[in-house]
Amino acid sequence: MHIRISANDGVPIYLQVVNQVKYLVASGRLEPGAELPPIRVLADRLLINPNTVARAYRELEVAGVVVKRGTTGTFVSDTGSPLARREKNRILTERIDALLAEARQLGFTNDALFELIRQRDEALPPPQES
Amino acid sequence: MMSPPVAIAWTIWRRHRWGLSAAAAVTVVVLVVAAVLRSNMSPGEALAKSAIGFMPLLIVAFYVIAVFSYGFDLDVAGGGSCFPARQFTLPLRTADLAGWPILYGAVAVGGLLLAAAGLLFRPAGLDIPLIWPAVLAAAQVAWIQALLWWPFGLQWTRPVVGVVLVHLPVTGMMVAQKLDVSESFFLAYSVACLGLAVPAAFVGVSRARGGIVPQWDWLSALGRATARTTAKPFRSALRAQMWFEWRRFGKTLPLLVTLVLPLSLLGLFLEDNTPPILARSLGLALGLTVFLAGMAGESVVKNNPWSRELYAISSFAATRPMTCAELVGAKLRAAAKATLVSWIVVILLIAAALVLSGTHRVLGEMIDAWLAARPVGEVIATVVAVGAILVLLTWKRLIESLLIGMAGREWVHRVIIFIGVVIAINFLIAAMWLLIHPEYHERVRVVGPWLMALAVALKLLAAALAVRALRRRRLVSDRTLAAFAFAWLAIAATLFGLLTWVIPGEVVATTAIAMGIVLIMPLARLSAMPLALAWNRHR
Amino acid sequence: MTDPDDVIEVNTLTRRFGSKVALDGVSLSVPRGAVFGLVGANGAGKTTLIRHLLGLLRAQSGTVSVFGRDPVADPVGVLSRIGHLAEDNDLPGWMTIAELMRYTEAFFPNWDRDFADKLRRDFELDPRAKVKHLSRGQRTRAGLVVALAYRPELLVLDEPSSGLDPIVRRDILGAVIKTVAQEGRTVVFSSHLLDEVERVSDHVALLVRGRVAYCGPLDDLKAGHHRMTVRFNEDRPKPPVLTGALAWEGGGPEWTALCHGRLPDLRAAAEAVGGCVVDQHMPSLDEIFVARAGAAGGSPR
Repeated sequence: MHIRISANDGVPIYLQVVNQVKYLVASGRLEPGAELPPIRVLADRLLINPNTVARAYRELEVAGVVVKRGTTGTFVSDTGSPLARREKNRILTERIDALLAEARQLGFTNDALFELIRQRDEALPPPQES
Repeated sequence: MMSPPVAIAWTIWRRHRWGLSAAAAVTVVVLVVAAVLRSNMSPGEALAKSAIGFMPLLIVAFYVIAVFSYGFDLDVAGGGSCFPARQFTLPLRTADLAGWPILYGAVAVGGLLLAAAGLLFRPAGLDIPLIWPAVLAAAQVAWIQALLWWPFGLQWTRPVVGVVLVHLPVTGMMVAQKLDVSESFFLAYSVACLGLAVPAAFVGVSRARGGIVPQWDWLSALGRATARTTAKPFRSALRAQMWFEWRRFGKTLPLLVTLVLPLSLLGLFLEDNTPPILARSLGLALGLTVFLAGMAGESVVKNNPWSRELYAISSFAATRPMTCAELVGAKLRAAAKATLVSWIVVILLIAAALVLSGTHRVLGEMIDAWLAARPVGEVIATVVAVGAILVLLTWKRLIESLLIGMAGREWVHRVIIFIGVVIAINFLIAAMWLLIHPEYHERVRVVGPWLMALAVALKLLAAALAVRALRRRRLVSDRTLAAFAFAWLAIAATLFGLLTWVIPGEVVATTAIAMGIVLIMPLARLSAMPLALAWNRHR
Repeated sequence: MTDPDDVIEVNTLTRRFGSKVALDGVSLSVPRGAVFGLVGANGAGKTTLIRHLLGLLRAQSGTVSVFGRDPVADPVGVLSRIGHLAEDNDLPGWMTIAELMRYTEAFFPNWDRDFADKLRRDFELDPRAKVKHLSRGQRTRAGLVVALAYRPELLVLDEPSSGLDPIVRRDILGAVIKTVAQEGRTVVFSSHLLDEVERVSDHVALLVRGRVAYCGPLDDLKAGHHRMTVRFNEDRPKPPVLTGALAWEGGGPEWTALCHGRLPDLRAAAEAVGGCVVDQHMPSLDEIFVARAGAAGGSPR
């Protein structure tokens, strides 16, 4: 599980962990039922206070992203879909906002932008069916 | 911009200005007093007294040698050069760095010897040549400098090589004297020694500067292969701390003794050994050990160079979970171990010297004569008493020099040394003055005991104040104080018993013996140690 | 006010060195189990405060209590429960690593030899190497081994990362985290590397010129400060005066302030002087510290 923490991001550290775990779950890199690293291990790896990791895990549990099974550990919850879709929407919305701002600044009209998107989509190889 | 010789002289002066001033003062005082006294004395007497006067000058000479060979920074057992490494980065040629201290040392010590010969011995009637002793002294200084500045690279090579080499110039001279050679030979010999030593010193410094130090890799590989990697754990914290203190300062005294004592025992090999001369040589050797103890504790005062204050206790030592009293106790025990080891070394060295020089027969005769004159018990008691007093004095001087370092403040260090020098000078003057005014001897006899009583009273008062402070700050438990008092009284009583048995009452009064014992035994400064350490540790 | 669960309690501690005031009425308390970051510029008094905690300095006025005891009066009771890494790291140069461990073991009954050996191997320290031949980072690691091996209740680190490469700094932070991950153990560390403090601390004390500018949970500190950008209709040569604003920067029509207070109040105050808040986010500890240190100095930006 790959997470990056930046201390002076302006965003609280526990929130960075929460957001990144949500992203990983939403993009499928963390599959339902996968185990999250124990609190101490993750704290040690990221060099952050274990209490911060604990708080992040609690928030994730409250949001339903993960489920804590007694003393065995913390696992990604199976019921992923509604959250995943919401999360996926949020991620893409952010990217689209940035893209639109950039395009406007560079002087592209909306039509020119959509045309460019269609061209790039044709050029992109189709995804492998797994 | 100063020229190199001035710059180097200024550096040395800045560092040692107090000591050098004191040394100069002592020299002047001794010479003046000797000149004054000489007018009132017969020639034979004057000669003997000038020999006494030479002693402080010899001490001054040792001090000056130490100053100009940068001996105060030295790590006796270490392998690296004792030349201060920070000078290597100065924009000065190696010849300058090494040459000027050699010159200054030669001039200082040579001048001292010249003054002693010209102003002390010659007017007293001893016809000592002027030139070659001074040159020989200069050669000896350069010899010592070369030895100290050479980077040996391996620990302990310097002491081992040093013991063999350091006194060669003087020894050679003594040997030559026996062989009845001409005056000019001595001068040639001295110049030859100088000619050997100065290039050796230059080469040593340039090797140290260039970092050309023999690595002795094969030896450390051997050591690693045979080293025990698992040593048994310490049985208690006190033992661990005692080990720590032993490693820090314990080896200094045995080392100093090993280096210096053979020099004083040389007399056994080279002179006609009649009993008085033998007794004098042995006495010198024994007294030297006690004297060295006063220096040994001092030399370890310098703490870790990373700590901000040079004399303050390092935070590593201060954060040991031990009370100040226990820390002091560990130091005392380590000092006791150092004392015992040193005395064993002394006895072995003396025994070896006696056997090798064949003078043990003379000693045997002296002992037989003594046994014939006095009962066996008394002889044994005398030996035991003297031995105990010597060991006790050594331990006392060792721990008292530790006390200065325990206080951890440089001004305390300087003040105590200054006071010590002042007292020593005054004592010297008074002693010399008394020697030439025998009419005052009777008065001294009367006043003496009262002075001693005063000293005893002051000492007891100081000890009482220290103990009161210890109890108030709860640095030492009452049980420990009681145990210590009991041990002190037991040792004092034993010594008193032995000495009163051995020394007849007419020679020295019993009360004088008692007061003498109280003055010899460590009490006041010993009690002050936990206070000094606490003052240092909790600033 | 005395919480029995406080490991350290300092009350109006004042310390002078000659004429210089190093600590001025410092009061703080460190709860059990906290990672307590002591933050301040060089010379702000962090090391002086830590030396008081270890009993190396006597309190000239005020009180210091560690585990409920005075470190000066009871050095054994306090020091036997503390693991300490000094700023200048004055381990005796002549000792080998093995000797250092053997020596320190004798003082602490809780010494765990297997743990100590594991730490030593993890830090790649040769037991036969002498301390004086080690590099600075390795000396710090050696100091860490002997400070951690007996699992002290309180770990005190004085500027542990100063002058060290990032790898050793990771080791130190890792040690801090491993310590606090075990129940009831507290860490106090002083640092001027604020991103490190931000990562691992949950309580923070800010020292500015010997005074405590803030002492409390890190989250509260960050939540109570805001980095607010205010836009005006016209160019302003000087920033407006706003209660709670500690430091301003910017120019022309847009000025950014680091403020202390509640966000609605600050917004209202900004609008009252004719500005409109266009951007607002949580500042980093670095920004808060610089603003407060500057504000306490009295010179406006």
